[in-house]
Amino acid sequence: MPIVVKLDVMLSERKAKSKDLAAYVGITEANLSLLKQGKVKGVRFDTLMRICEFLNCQPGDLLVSRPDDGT
Amino acid sequence: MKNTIIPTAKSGPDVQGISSVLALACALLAVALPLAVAYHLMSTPVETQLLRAGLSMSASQAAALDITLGQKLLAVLLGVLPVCCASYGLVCAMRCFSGFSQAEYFSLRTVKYLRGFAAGIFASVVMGVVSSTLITVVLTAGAPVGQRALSLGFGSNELLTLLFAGMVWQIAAVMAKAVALAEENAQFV
Repeated sequence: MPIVVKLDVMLSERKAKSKDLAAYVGITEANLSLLKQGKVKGVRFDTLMRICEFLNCQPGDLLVSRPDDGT
Repeated sequence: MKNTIIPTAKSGPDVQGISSVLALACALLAVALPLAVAYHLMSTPVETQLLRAGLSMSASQAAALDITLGQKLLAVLLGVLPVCCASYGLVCAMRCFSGFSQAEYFSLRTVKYLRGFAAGIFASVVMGVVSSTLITVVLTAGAPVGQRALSLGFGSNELLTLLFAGMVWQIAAVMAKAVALAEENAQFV
């Protein structure tokens, strides 16, 4: 997958809990878990904005483009 | 004090309630229609059946055909076949509306039943054309050579019903796309 979600890294850096983030954003913990694993088809701008607000970061800190290595 | 009406998601037509009524109507029609048509065909004079099949014949001419019970029963069976196709379509429509009445809007199951309804109506029209042709053959099979007949009828009613069936089929295809979009949307967080 070319886009890697670094939400778990940001959460551990900020020492924040997934449960609190899910409650702040207004999504379920199950959906947040799927997002952390990159198992979702997309992220709404509204969700992304709330995550950035909570973690005090930029969207670019959460989503990183990783080019395919061709394997 | 001024009263203000605030529109809510509940406003608008009662889709679930209307769907329940339609499902019930479809179920009743699906059962009653073939029985009513079979009774009607059994009690209809031969000349009327032939006239409906597109063959004009007087009562004396029809009496001269000397139609046996087997021929009459076969004609009734052929007359009921298109209604049975329509009945299948109505059963599918009933299941589709039952789904809607249970708020099952974005489901491939309801799409499948809507397609079944369209297919039933399409088959009913095609069978109607074929059966009316076969009815004339069956009822005039015992007539002397030169009086046997074969009639083929296709009118604007049939054309419009085929168009209707095609439109419902296409609406079902659009609904299938909507289901796929809803499923994709559900995977967004």
